[in-house]
Amino acid sequence: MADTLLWVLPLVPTVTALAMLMTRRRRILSLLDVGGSAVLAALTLVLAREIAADGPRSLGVLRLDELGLVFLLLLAVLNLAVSVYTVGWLRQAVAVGNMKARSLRSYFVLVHAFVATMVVTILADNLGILWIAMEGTTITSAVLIGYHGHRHGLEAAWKYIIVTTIGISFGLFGTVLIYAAAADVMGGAGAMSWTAIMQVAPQLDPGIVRIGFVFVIVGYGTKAGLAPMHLWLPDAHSQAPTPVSALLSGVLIKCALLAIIRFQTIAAAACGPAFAQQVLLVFGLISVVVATPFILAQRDIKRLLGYHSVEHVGIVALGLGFGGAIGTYGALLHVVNHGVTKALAFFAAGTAIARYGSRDMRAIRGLAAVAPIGATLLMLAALSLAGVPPFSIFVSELMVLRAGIGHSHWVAIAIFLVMVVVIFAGLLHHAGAMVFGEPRGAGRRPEDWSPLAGMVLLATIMLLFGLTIPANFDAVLRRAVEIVVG
Amino acid sequence: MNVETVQAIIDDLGALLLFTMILIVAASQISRAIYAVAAQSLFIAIAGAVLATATGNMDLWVIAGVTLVVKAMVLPWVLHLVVRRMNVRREVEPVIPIAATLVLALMVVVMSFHLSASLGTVRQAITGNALPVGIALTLTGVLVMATRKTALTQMVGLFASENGIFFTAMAVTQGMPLIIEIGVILDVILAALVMTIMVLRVRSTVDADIADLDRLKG
Amino acid sequence: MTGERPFELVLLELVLLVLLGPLVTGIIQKLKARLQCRQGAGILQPYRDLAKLLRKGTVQADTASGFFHSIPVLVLAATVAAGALVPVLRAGAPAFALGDALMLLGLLALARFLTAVGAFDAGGAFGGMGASREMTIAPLVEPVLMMVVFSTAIAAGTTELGALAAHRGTSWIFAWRAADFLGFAAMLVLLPAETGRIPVDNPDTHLELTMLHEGMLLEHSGPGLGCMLLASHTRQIVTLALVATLFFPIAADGALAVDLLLGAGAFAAKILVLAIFLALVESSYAKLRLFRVPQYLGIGFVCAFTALALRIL
Repeated sequence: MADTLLWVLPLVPTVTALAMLMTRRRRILSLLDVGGSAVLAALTLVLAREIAADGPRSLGVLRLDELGLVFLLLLAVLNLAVSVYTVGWLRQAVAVGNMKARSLRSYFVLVHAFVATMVVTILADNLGILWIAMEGTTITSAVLIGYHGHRHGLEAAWKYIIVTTIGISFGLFGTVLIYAAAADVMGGAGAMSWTAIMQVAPQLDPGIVRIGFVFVIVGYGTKAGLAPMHLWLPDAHSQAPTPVSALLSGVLIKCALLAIIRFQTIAAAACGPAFAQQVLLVFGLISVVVATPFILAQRDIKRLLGYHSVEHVGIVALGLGFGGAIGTYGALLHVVNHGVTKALAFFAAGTAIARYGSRDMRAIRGLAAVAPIGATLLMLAALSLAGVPPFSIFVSELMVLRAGIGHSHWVAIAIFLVMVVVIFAGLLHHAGAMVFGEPRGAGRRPEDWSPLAGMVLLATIMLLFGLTIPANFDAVLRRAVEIVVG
Repeated sequence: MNVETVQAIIDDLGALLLFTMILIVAASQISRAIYAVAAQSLFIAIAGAVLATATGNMDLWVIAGVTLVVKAMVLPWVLHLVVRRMNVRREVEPVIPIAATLVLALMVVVMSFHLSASLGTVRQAITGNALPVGIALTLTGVLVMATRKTALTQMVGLFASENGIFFTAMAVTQGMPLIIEIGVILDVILAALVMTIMVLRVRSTVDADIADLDRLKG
Repeated sequence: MTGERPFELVLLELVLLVLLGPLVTGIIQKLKARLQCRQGAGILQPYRDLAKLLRKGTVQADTASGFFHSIPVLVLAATVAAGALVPVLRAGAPAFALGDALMLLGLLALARFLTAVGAFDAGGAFGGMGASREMTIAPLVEPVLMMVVFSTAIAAGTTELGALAAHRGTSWIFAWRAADFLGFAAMLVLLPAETGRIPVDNPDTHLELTMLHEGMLLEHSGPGLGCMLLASHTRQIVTLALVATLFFPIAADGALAVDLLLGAGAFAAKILVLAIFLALVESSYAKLRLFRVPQYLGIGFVCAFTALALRIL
C-alpha cells in the first residue's frame, strides 16, 4: 500500500491541476487548491508513518527514504499553508488588479504543476528523472515568476530561466560523468539509480567522481541559490507573486539541496568525505559572506528576504560541509526550519505590501497600529530569521555552529558568527522600523482571516521546533543523517 | 567497425564541433551563430548515428534522429523566424571584445583537454575525445551566454552547451538510457519555447530586447 | 614516395613554380570575372603585363635612396628561394640540405619586410600607410602559419617539407586526424591574408583606403614593378603549394617521366582547387574593415592553437 502511494503522490497535484482546467470561478479554484493540498498533506503523513515504521519504500524509479521524507514533509506542509494563504491573498490581489481574474485558472494550474514536479524531484531515485523533474520546476516556476506581466517580472523571469537552465546543464553534465563512472563498474544496467550507485560507490573512479561532483554542485547549486551563482534569486523571489515566492524560497531551493546531498553521499563513498565537505564549505562561506552586505543595504522587502534565503542556503551548505552527525543533523533541521520561517516571512511581507501598496520598506511604517496580528507575526518571523531563541532557526544554527567548533574550522566559524551578528542587527532594525511608529499610507482594512490562518499555522510550527523537536520527527531526522553520513 | 575507427571518427567529429564552437564565439551576426549551432547539432546527430552502428544500440538511432530533426532543423528555424519577423537587432552585442572572448574560449579548450588528460583509466568509459570536447563545448556555451547581450545569442549559447553534454552522454560506452535522453530533449524544447515566448512578449510590450532589461540591481 | 629528390628535380620544380605563378593569378581573375558575369581578361594576361613592364623605363622618387633600386630584386630572390623548399612533383627530402618549413616562412617574412621597407623608403603617404597596415596584419598571420606547420610536423617528426609529405603518404584522407581538420580550417582562414585577397585586402583596386599590398607597390615602376608582381605571383603559388604539401600530399613514386607527369598533374589539380576556393571566397564576401581583420584572423589563430593543443594533449 505504501508502495502505490509513492506513485499516487505526484498524481495528486497533477489531478488537481487538470481538474482546475475545467472551471474559471475563483471560489471553486480556491476550493480545489486547498482540497488538493490537504489531500497531499494527508497522504504524506500516512506515508511518513509507514516509513517511520518500516523503512524506505520504493516502486520503480520512485523511492522514499527518511532523507527524502524530511523534504517531502516540508513540501506538504508549506503547500497547505500556501493554499490557505492564497484564498485571502488572491481575493485582495484581484480586487486591486494585480492578478487578472481571467487568468486565475492558469495560475492555479501552474502552481500545482510546479508542486507536482517538486514532488517527483524529491521522490526520484533515478538521477536522470531527478534532472528532468528539476528542469520541469524551472519551466513552470519561470512562467509563474513573470506572472504579473510587468517589465520587472519579465526581466526576473528571463534571468531566472537562463541562469538556472545553464546551471542545470552543468548538473546534467555532472550526472553524465557519474553515470559513466558507475556504468564502467556496473556495466550499464541500472547505473542511473541512486541506490544502485551507492552500493558500488567505493569502487568508482575518484577522479571522475570528483569532477562530476564539482559540476553537480555548480549546477544544482545554481538552482539552490549558492553564491556566486545566486544572482537570479533576489530578482526572482521578489518579483514573483507572494505565494509563489514562499514556495520558491521555502521548498524549491531545498529540493536542489536534496539533489546536492544525494550526490554528496556518492562522492563521499567514492573519494572520501573530505573532498565534498571542502567544496560545500567553500560555497557555503561565499554565500554567507556575499549575502550580508546586500541584506543591509536593501530597500525592497521581498528582495531582502531573497538575499536572506541565499544566506541561509549558505548556512545549510556550511552544516553539510562541517560534516559529522551534528553538522548534518543541524543542516537538515535548518532546511525545515528555514523553509517554514521564510514562508511565514513572505506571507507577512505579502500582507503588508498589499496593505501599503508598496514594496519599499521605508513606505511601510506603523504596521502594529493597523494590523496588530499581522505585525506580530511579521516581528516574530523577523526575529526568527535573525536567529533569536526560542525560535527554530536559532536551534539549527546553534547545531551547525557546534559542528564547526567540533571539527575545528575556526576561520569559518568566526566569519559565520560575524555575519550572523551583522544580519541580526540589520533585520531587527528593518523590522522594528516597519512595525512600530506612525502608520502612514496604510489601508485601514480589517485583517483577512485566511492569510492569517496560513501564517499562524506556520508560526506554531516555528515556535514548536524552537522549543522542542517531536520524537518521531527526531527519529526520522536521525535516520536521514545516517543515510548521509553513512 | 572496429574500436579504433570509431574512436577516430569521434575524434574528427569532435574537432568539427570545436570548429563550429569557434564560429559561434566569433560570430558577429546572430544569423551566423544560428547557422553554426545548427551545423553543430547536425554533427552531433552524425556522431549518434556512427555510435549507433558501432555499438548496435538502437536507442542511439532514435536519439540521433530526434537531435537532427529538433535541434538541427526545428529550433534554428524558429530562431530564424524570430530574427526575421520580429525586427530583433541582428548584431551580436558583446560585453567584452570578441577577440577577448576568443582567447577565453581558447583557454577553456586547453584547460578541458588538460583536465581530462589527468583522469585515469576510467577515461575509456567515454569513447575518444568526447569528454574534453564535451567539457569545452559546455563551458564555451556558458561563456557565450555570459558575454553577449542579445537574448537570441544567449539561447544559442544554451543550445551549444546542451550539445556538448549530449556529445559526452552519447559517447559513454555503455550508452545512456533512452528515457533520459528523450526527457532531456523534451526539456530543452520546452525551455526554448518558453524563452522564445518571453522574448516575443517583451518585444511586443516593451519594445526592447529582453536581455537588455537591467533595472533590477543591488 | 620516398627517395630523395636530386638537384635537377629541385631546379625543375623551382622553374615550374615561378613560371606557373602568374597563370594561377590569371585563372583566379578569369574565374572572378565569370562569376561577376563579365568576360574578363584572358588567363595569360599576367604574362603580358609582366612582359610590358619589362620593356618600360623606371621612374623613381627623389626621396628614395639607392637601396630602393635593389628592393625588387631582393624580394624576388627571397620569394623564389622560398619556392625551392616546397616539393611539387614528388615527395621526399632533397638530396642536399636546403631548408625546412621554418626557413620558408622566414623567407616569405623577409620578402614582406623588404617590401615594407621599400615602401617606407620612397617617402610617399600611400606607401607608408600600406606598409604599416601590412605590418599590422603580419604578426597575426605568421605565428598562425607556424602553429599549423608545427601541428602537422609533430606527427611526422620533421619540419622538412619533403620528408613531411613523404611521411603522409598517398592515403591522406584516412590519415587526417582531428587536429588536421582544425589546422586545415586555420589555413583556409589564412589564405586570403597571405595572398592579399578579399576579405583581407582587395587586389583589384588602387584606392588608398583598400590598399595593403597595392600601397606598397605604388612607388615601383618598370622592371622593378615587374619583379615585385612576379614575386607576389610566386608568393601566392608557394603558399598554395604549402597548403597542398601539409594537407594533401598525393604524389607519385619512382623517377620515371610518367611518374613525374602524374605528380605534375596531381599538383596542378590541387592548386586549381585551392585557386577556385580563393576565387569563390573573393566573389562571395566583402572586404573587412581593417580593425575587423584581427577578429577574422583570430578565428584562424584559435583553430591553429586548438589543432596544436589536440596534438600535444
